[in-house]
Amino acid sequence: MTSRRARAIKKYLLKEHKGKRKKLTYSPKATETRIFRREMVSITSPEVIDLYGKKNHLRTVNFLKKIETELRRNCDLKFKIHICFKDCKVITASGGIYLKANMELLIHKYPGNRFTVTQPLRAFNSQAGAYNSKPVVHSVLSQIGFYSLLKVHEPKLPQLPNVDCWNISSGQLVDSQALAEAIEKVGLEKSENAAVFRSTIEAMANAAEHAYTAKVPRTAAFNLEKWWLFTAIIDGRFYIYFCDVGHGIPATLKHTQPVPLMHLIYRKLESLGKKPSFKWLEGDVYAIKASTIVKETRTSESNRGKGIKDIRSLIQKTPGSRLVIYSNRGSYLFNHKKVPYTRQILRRPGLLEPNEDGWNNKLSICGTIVGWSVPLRSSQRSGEL
Amino acid sequence: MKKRILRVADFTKYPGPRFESLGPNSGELFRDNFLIPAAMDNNVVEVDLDGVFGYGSSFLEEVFGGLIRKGLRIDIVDSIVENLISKDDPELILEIKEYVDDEKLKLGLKP
Repeated sequence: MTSRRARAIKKYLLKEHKGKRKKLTYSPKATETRIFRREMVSITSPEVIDLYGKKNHLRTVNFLKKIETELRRNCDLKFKIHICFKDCKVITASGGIYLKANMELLIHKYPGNRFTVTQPLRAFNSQAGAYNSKPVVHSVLSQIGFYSLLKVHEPKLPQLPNVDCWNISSGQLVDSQALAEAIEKVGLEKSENAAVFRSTIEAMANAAEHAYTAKVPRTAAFNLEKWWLFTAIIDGRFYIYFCDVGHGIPATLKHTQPVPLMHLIYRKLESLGKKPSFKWLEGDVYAIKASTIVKETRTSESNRGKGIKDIRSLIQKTPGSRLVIYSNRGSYLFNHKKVPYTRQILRRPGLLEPNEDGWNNKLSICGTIVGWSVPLRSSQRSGEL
Repeated sequence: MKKRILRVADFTKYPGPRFESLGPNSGELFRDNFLIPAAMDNNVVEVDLDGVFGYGSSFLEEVFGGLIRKGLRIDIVDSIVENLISKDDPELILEIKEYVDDEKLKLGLKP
């Protein structure tokens, strides 16, 4: 054991032993073994890995933050990081892409760490009174490449054929061909292909062009400048999600749009609300909302930023579809149909339209996730869970 | 009168981002390497937008709105826009006209 490692272990022990009565007896080799056996770094995943809803959002982001904290602490200790999925019952599309993208970023940022993973248990179905025979969460983790990313042994459980259609790819530049091929696999009509492509190519272009822009001041350079694309068919719906781990829309918006246009946008938002004040224009969700009306509000001063309206165009044309945008602390939803009235009255009146919903979360995802879910017709359905 | 039909599908089936620096099959590349040379060599250029997987608005804006930014004569730009072909999605022509009109407004011209 190197002296640096010995010092790190001693420091760790002293910190843990602080305030206790029993005198600390320190023997480097014995201590290391004791720590390894008893004090292995272990992080347990939440039951639901998802970004929809404030509770799930908080638990999911906290989970990744704990992993980051342990990876940072573990730089000198070199213990194995144990990630436990035994309590995890559900991973959604947004949770899956957030998990994959951020784990890739953390591994790139803190190289040399080793991992062990406790595989997820099969969920208990209370209605059936038995454990689910399908290892859903394990299949999802396997399909999105989580085990191979952590370089851990992947347990040989039966793969769900319906999870085989889940796919995550990534890149740095805009790859229109890869995107088109991912959309073509679903088997939509030609006009639907064009509508999905139109919306999604803009999200990809925004991730490549604006997400990591040097125009936004930052104390340190980004460790990884990539986008991730997730596609899946779940329960008769086609999900396509983009993720980046950049500045986020709230930080980049004022740098990508000219100041007069931003004033126009905020004035338009203000006119929708009853209170003529900029106080309501706070929080990341309203920055996301502002970004969605750039094209409608554009003046002759800007030829840029027209793409974000296209992000909504697919939803406007497709019944039953939904758009979600998570960026930093904001969560924004745009539905084809109106949000239920009970949900509408809980929001600040006016600033969100009847088919929109949004809120600010406690923690930031430090990036952006844009996702569409489109219902498939019965002739297109395949791979339902 | 020299006429040329330029098919976007011959350039790429998957139109990409706005700028070449962002990825392949960009609007900037199509405009600078195909559209502007064709417009210089021919009296009439018909751009056929059909046969591709789909378009992003950034691609269209950079190709057609960018013609004015590149300094092409307004009458040539108007001729290109008037001779657009889009049977699969006729709304694309209206959208492209909007982009060109926006650029004209910037120059202080009437759309």
